[in-house]
Amino acid sequence: MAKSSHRIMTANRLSDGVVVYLDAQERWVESLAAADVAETEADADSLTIRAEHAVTARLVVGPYLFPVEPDEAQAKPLSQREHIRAKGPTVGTDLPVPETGA
Amino acid sequence: MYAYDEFDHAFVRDRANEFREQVARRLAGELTEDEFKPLRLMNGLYLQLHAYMLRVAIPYGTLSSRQMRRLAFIAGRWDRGYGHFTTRQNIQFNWPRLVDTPDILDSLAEVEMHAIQTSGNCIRNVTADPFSGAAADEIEDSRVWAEIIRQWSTLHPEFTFLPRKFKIAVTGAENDRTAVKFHDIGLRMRRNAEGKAGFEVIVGGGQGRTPIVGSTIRKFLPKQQLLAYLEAVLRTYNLLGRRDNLYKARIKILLAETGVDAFTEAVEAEFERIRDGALTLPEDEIRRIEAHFSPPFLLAEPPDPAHIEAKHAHPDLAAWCRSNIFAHRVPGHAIVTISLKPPGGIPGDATTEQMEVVADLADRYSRGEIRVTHEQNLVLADVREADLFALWRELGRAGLATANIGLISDIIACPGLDYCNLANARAIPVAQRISRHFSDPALVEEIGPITLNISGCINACGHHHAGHIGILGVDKHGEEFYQITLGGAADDDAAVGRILGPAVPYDGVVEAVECVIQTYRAIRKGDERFIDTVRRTGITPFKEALYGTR
Amino acid sequence: MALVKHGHVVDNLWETLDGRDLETIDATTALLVGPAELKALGERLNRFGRLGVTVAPGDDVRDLLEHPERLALVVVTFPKFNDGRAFSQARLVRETTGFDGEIRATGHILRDQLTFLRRSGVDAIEVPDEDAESWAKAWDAEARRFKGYYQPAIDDHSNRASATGSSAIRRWAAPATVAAFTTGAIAIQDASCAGAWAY
Repeated sequence: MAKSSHRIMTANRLSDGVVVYLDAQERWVESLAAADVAETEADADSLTIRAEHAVTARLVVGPYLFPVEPDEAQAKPLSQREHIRAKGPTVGTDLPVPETGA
Repeated sequence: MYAYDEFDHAFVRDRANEFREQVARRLAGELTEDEFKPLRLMNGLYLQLHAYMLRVAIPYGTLSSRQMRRLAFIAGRWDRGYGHFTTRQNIQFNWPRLVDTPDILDSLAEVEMHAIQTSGNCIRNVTADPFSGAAADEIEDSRVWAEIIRQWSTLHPEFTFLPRKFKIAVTGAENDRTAVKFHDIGLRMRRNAEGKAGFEVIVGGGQGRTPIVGSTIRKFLPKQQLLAYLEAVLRTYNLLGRRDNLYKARIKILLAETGVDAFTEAVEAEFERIRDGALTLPEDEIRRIEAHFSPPFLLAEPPDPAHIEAKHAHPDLAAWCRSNIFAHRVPGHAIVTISLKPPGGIPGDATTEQMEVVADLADRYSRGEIRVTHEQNLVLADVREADLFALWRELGRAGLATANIGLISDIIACPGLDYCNLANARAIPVAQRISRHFSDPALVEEIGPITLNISGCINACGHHHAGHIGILGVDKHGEEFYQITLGGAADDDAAVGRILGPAVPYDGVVEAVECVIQTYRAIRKGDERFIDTVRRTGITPFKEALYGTR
Repeated sequence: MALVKHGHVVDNLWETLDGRDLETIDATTALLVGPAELKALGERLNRFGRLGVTVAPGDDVRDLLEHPERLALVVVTFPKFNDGRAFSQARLVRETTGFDGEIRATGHILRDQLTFLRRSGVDAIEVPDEDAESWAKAWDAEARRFKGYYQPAIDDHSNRASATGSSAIRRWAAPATVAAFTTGAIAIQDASCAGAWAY
């Protein structure tokens, strides 16, 4: 897997478990595209501190940083796990068209 | 089935109130996530990849139509219109909000349901034979004992912070349908020389990282001593089980490290101490529980000519009867398994609408009772043969009439990386691809009885170690790969599957399974089942077919 | 650290050795030692009127309490709240050793564990001074939470005979909590049990 120094802070919202990302305005947003991208170690530390405040303020649970591909117009997670977290389950909740009995 | 009395109602409401307070304390910051986590787990609430996940208990897999309708309602009102039936006979909702869970628990309590101890390091849902009360090979209804154990284990003050989770299964039939040897404690009903019924106690079975078949530590235990014996096992485990390493904390590790004999000695010593005490099951208590499970009065009926005619006229019905019907103890009746594995479907999932259909059909055709199997299907246990055609047609309209029980497309799969925080790879799309590949009913029937289990990680919630074909998803340098095992079995000849060779990529799984099946069809003798062929030939012919003879 | 015993804040007069020479300690001191010290100091401890021992989760309490009559206090420990060995230890101390004194729990405990502690035979908990009052309230509140329990245990003051059947495994909780609940007639769901609901 390629490496990257670009990282995004994510967590789950405490009240409803929804996947959220920390943006540059201290908001936790549902859209990966709107997330703040930390390009340096210092940026990442700052994200971490802001995330810890959000935990104490009971906004989010279990925050962590994950790497994204740099040089993309829109951040792209390196790991499949974060792809799935961003996009939702790869399987539909619709079951196939019911068969008719006879 | 068991009906709550005032005691049970009071308890489940008190418990729901306790959880409401705990959620309030969490949201107010009086509990950290670290402190709240074990408390929410003990009410079945996980935090998963996308959302919270609530695992609702379906004790020994039995529920009423009224309860099924409530689950359908909950799915529609507080979730996304569907639920997932699990490999431990429970149901999971994938999208509840934390703030709604107290209301969900209140709603469940109204219909005698709860989410108590469906997670956490405590005694979990006690599973039992889904054909209880209906199958001809039954010694006694295992659910009586599962209910007795459920009550005793509920908020047991001493066993709520065990080294790790604890899973118990009870089987009351000659043929085991509960994977009893793959549990922390498996209880098999047996008759002694005098014809009295009691339990063989099997300890230390399990899957996960170190799959192993359990060991019998007691050949025969009289019924009234069941709870005292279980308490002795649990107390020994609670005190001696490892606390330093999460992956070595199950009782199977304690058994392996102490040795079966030394472990048994410790248990028997504690059992001797408490044997005749407060845990001795009084006769009237046994009878109180048994009364809830008395077999229904069903009139034996001769073979129904209309049914025979219908099968001639509808080959699909005939096929469905061949695969989805199990013999009932009363002539003229059938145990019907409803497949939740349509081709390309998500194994074990049912929509709100489908749950309502099943509830309705249960009312009309099976005394208002439904069972959940650990293979993630549903059962209507007391259907009249004369009603099978009508039932089949109505199931078909709801997408619930797939004729594949115990066949290759009856795949057991965990939620995997699409839903689960612990997963390394996806399991559901693999199941979907395989079931689409094997969708020709004639081929499926010709391949014959076979179990295929898929787990998305080493925790093995898909029970892949016990599958005739087992598939384990792994992460290799960020890519999904799948390890194939053969020869696992969850029946009376329980065994752990053996690894066939190097893991295959996501796009190679269907081909690999196809290769295994073709090899089987080429080398089987007569009408040998898949597992019989593997036991006869070993895995070498399959290994060579898949990987060559390098 | 403060003590909450049976729901009341009480003074904590117990002392540990704290590196002191045993002979310098007055015999009226309530002295709490560890298992190694109990064994090593042996008879030299006899002059103390109140003696207690702290056990670690991995200790065998039956080995340790060879002379339970000499002890007034056993302390069980929770290095982390989810290490549940102390529950079984307390239970075994009560049921097998003949020990008659106070069992106290120390370490990291949650108020949600108070019922389990009480029912395992624990009389008291050690808590930070500033939290003592709220823990005392919590002890009582948790004791009233459940109207019944599904299994026998040490300390639920219950009368099995008046419980849910002539000799059931499950039982109602202490009378005080039942009184809070039974303000009116109880709807009896199972007619066959009607005779057993005797209060």
